[in-house]
Amino acid sequence: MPDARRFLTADERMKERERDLRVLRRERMIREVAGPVWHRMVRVVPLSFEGQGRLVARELLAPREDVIEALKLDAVFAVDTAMRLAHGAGFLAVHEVQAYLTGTEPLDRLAQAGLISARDHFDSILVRPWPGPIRLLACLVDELPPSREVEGGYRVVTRERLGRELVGTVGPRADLFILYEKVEGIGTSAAPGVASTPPPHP
Amino acid sequence: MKPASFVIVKLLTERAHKGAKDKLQALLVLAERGEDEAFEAEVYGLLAAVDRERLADLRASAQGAVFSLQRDPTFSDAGAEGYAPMRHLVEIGLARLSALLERLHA
Repeated sequence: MPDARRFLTADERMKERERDLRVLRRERMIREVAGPVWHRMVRVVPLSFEGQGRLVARELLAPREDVIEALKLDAVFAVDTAMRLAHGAGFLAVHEVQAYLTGTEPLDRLAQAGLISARDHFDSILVRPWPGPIRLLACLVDELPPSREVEGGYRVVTRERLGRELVGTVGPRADLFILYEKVEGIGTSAAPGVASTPPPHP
Repeated sequence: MKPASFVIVKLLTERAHKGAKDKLQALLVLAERGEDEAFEAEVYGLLAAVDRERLADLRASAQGAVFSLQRDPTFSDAGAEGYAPMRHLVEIGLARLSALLERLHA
């Protein structure tokens, strides 16, 4: 099939250029509205939670607090769950459970206890704009990521990693990034996730 | 074109369609040649000649390209899907770009 784009006229190219500039102007406007937080936010190297290993979704059959408690010894909690456990406030509208695990044994155990479904749920999209059951989203990794212990004895991802996971989950959202900075008590000069050294290989 | 010039041209390219692909190519070159001090000095020198507004554009679009690659490269930007297996290298490239820009603003 011939590539029609090779035969664009000067007018068509000008239209493309104008479209590109419209996008750029819109992005600059967003930047201006966000203010200094925007500059801190774009320093972050995004980290995709689901990209760290194999993502498994299981439907919750019990209250999420029970599931979190049952995973306490096995998991490092991540993304929205990490923020909620550490600070009592999350950044995603739907309150699900995200955690790193090194194997499927905890999932089998929770399924046997009737806390989660025994079968994987077909929908493992992390942020879904459509309705669905509340899920446990477990990312199966070879090695648990660096973590910190918060009140209650739960292990959650480090402050720096949480910032990277936030941007890797919702993109450059200044409103949510401000919330993250506020709950983590990050000063405005600090720049979480600024990588002066390359990130380690997953 | 020299590799450093290629990186800057790609980072400064404004394209709504296939824009992520340009940034990913630049970040991959940065990742690949990051240990080369002469290359890094050349990129730094070229970045220093770019005004702050354009540097902010450049930084945001580079981060946006990494984000789109992590999320769903097939959907996000036509032409970028082939770069999915190189995600880690692209992240290294972004980290190097970020470090260069920090030095520039220090």
